[in-house]
Amino acid sequence: MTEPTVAPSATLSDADFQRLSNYFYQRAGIRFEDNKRYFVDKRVVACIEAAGASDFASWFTRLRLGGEKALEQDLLNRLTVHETYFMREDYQLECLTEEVLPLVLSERGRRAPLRVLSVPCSTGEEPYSIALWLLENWPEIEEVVVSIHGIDIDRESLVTAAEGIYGARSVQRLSDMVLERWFTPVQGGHQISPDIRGAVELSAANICDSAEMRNFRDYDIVFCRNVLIYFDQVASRRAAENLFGAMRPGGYLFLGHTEPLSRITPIFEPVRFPQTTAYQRPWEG
Amino acid sequence: MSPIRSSKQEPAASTDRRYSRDHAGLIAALSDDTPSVRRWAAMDLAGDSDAVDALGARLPFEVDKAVREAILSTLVGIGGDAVVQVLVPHLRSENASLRGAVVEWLAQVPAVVTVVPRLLADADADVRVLAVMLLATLSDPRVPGWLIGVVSSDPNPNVCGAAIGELAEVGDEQACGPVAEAAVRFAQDPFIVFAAGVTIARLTGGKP
Repeated sequence: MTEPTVAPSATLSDADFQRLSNYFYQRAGIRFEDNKRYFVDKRVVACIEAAGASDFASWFTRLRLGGEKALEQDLLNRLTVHETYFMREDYQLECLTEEVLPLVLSERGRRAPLRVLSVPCSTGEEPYSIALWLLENWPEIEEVVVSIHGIDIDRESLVTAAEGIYGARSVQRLSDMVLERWFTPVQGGHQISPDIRGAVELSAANICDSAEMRNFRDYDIVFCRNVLIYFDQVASRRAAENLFGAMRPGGYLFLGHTEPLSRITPIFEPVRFPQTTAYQRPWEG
Repeated sequence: MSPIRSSKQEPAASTDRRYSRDHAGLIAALSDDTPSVRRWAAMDLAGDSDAVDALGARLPFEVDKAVREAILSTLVGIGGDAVVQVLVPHLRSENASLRGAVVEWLAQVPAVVTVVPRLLADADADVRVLAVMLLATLSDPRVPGWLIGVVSSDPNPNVCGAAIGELAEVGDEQACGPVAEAAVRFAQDPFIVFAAGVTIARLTGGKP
């Protein structure tokens, strides 16, 4: 991307906002209403300036028709939130234990281990949150063997995940009781217990790479949150196919709340639960 | 000790293989009775440009959505003129779901631009509507010009209306004249007149 050369005076008219809003909804599944004008305008103007464009119209034409992936990535980065912390979007975890797991167990019994995949697992907050949630909120865990697997393309993140040391911001949504029970205070934050670290398996793989992803099979539950929106259409569809292949028929997929999967691929069946929508790999036959 | 166990202790899932994983075996597997076998075959043919014709030939018979997606994804990953030539005939399919899927995937093949003018001039108005839908997701600077061409000359109100709607998203003020003229040409069609008004307002920032 070129250095900023423009006019900090770039602004968005109502019509510009509408076009941008429509585009962003088609691209990322996120709809901005008028009450988000301030949030959106400020960040879009920053994109226009960073791209060296003279105004919204010329920037939007480059974004929409010019094939400049960097412009799209910059917009996505500025208009979405990249933060990971324990118990993020925990209504999905509630849905998991209240609604989905009873269905899964009734369909496939209790004898085989329940297999859960977290992808991308980043620095570990998500797979460890799943483990903590199950331990704290799902009495069945005393009878059902659960395995949790986290995968990420970034090996450095996996090293951090394996260390399991988190700062105050990461653990801010955990109760003192959970912190006390499952973490040890260490220099730099709180370290999650070796039992949980040892139980959650971590592997490097690229969700878009079918050859790598075919090593991951037969998961009952997959969490893949807030990543598909960053891919272009071909990559997001391929990633969805790889997730499909990683699940057993009847398994459930949780995505981020702004990622309606039906806009990406028709191969899953959306299932509405009181807390959220999950996506089921259809049964065969 | 946590009741959560490492999956390292579990045996890897077994795979029932009835076909060799070479080109011939995978092509044969595309016709297997089991959808998951067909799906893995389609995915494993990724990058095999010799499989384009066989993958395309399977499409009209494929009833499983996940297998169809895998076939289309593999074809689009291979890309190029040969894939475009294999996919375009399916725009005439009687199966609306297949037509829609083909349009979405074709838009991801850069070589499709070579057939856009032919599709926009097709004698079948339904194909021209699909071509406009294709333009809606195509990232190419010629898109507004193609849409203006449709708006200026297409005799079918459905095709013209679709193009007017897309110009609201990708056009600029240069499109306003042809859109206004289309509204006159189809003055008896309330949808075209309404769509033209919305598009012109959008492109002019709300100015009359």
